[in-house]
Amino acid sequence: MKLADQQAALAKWVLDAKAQGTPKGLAPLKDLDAGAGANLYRDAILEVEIRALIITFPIVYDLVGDRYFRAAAKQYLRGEDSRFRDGNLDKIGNGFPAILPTLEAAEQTPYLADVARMELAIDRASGGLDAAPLDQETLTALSNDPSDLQCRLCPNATILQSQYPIDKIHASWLEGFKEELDISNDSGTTSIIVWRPEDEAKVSRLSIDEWTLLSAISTHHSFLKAVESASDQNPQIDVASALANAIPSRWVEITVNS
Amino acid sequence: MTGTSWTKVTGGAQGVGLGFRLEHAQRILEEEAVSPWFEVLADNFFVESGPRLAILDKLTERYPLAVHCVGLNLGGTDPLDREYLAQLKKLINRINPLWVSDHLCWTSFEGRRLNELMPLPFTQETIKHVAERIKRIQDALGRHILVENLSSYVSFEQNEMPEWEFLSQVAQEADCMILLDVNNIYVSARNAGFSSSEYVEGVTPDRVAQFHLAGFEEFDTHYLDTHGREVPDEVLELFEKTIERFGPRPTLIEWDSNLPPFETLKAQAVRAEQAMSRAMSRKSIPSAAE
Repeated sequence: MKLADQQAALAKWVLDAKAQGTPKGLAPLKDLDAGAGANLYRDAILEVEIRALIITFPIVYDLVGDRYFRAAAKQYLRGEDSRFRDGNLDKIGNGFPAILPTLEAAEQTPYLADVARMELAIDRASGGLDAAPLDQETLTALSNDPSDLQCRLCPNATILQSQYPIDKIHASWLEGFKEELDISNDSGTTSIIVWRPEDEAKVSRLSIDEWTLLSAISTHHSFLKAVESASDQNPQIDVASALANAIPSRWVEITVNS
Repeated sequence: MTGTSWTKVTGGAQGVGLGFRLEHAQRILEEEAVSPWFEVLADNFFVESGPRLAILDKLTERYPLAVHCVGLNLGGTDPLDREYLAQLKKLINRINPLWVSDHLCWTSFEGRRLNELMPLPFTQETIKHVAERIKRIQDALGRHILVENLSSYVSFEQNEMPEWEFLSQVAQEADCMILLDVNNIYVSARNAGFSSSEYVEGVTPDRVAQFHLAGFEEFDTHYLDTHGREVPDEVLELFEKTIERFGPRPTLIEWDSNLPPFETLKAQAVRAEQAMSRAMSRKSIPSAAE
C-alpha cells in the first residue's frame, strides 16, 4: 500500500465516529489490537477538538455544563451536518454558535447562540491587530475637511446585537456567577462591542447612536458616507458624541486617504 | 544544508528546561533565572498581536527558547502548508530560538487537519518521502530542525525496520537533528514489546540534539503518553542509560495536562538534573571489566 493510501485509510477511519473493525494496513501491538489502537487516535483527536471549543466558549461551557457541552461539541464536530471540515483549531469555533439553536435543549437556553457569538468575538479580539493611533493629520482633517477620511472598525473589534443581555451574562461570568442572573429578553435589544483596548478583550454596551455609527462604519470605508448612512438610519443621531467615545476608546480606525 | 552535528544547533543552552505555559507566565516573569531555558509551543503564538505575544517578548528577553511545533506535517502526503510555514518563520524571526522541532508523523490529509500526531509506517518509501519534505522545510526556514519520535499505539503491516533505524535513517537522509523523547521510547517499547534499551542503542548518536521527558498513564492493554504527571522512575532510569550512551544534551520536562504549580515542574527538572549527573559519573568511571 502506498503511503498516501495508508494515510487515507487511517484518516477516514479516525474521522468517522461510526467506523468499526480495523483500518486497512494496520497491525496489532503486543496486547493492543489494531482497531483498539486506532481508536486511541480517534478519541485523542475528538478530545483535542472538544477542549479547543471549551477554551473558546468558556461561558457557554459554564452555563450548560460538561455533559451538555460535550454532546453539542460532538454533534458540531462529527455530526452529519458538521460545519467543521478543515480541522483548523484557530477557526474551530466559527460555526459553533449556529448549531446551538438546533440542539434539543435550546428551548430552555435561547440566548446560548448569542453568548457564543460574543465569545467568538472575544477570542478574535485577544489575538487581533491593534487599531492604528490617530495622527495629527487625521485630527486636523476631522475638524476641517473630512472628505478624504477613510474609516473602519478596529481590526480586533466586533459589534453584536442580541435580544438578551449578553454583556451582563459576560460580567456575571467574570464574577463567577455569584448572583442569580435574570436572563430574559424583556429589556429590548442589547448592542455591544467586543474589542481589546489593552491587554485583555472587553465587552461594552453601546448606545443607540454608537451602534448606528459603528454599524455604518463597518460597511462604509468613506468616513463621510458612513456618517451620511448613520444619519439616514437615525436622523436624531448625535455623531459628535458617538465619535467622542469611539475614538479615544479605539473602537474605530480613521485615516487620511493618501 | 549539510555537515550538521548536534553541537552546531544547540547554541549555549544546556541543562533541563521547562515547557512554557501561559498559566505560569506571571510566576516565571517575576523572578530571575527560574529555568536554564524554555520551550514554547509554536501554534500558541500564531496570532497577530495581543497579550500572548507581549508575554512571549518578555520571555525572549530573559531566556533562551526552543520552538516546538505540531503542524509541520513532516510525514504527510498533503502539500506543505505554506501558511503554517510562513507563521512559523515569522515567529522564528521574532524570538530567534535555539531550536525548532516537530514530530516524525503526519497531521493532515486532503486538507483536513487531524490535530493528532499520526504514526508512519517504517519503510524506505516513507524515509525518502519524509526526508525530502524535511529538506524543503529546512530550506524554507533557513535552519536545521529536530525531529521527535512518537509514542505508538498501532503498527503497520508494511514495516520494514525497527523504529530506531527508521528515525536514524530519516535524520541522516534529511540532514536534520533528532529530539529523542525518552518517555515515548518507554511507552512504545511497552506497547510494541521491544526493548527500550535496544532502541537507545540503535539510534545514531551524532544527530541527537535534545531529550524530552514526560509521564504516561498505565492501562490494562497499553501505556498512554499523557504529559499529565511526574516523570516515572522507570523513564528516568531509561534517561540515565540514554545519557550514558549519548552524553548530556539539553533536556525538557513536558507537562501539559493537569498542569501542576510551577514549583512541581522545577522539582522535576532537579530530578532530571540529578539523573543526568548520576549517569555522567558512571560514564566517567570505567568499570573494572574495562
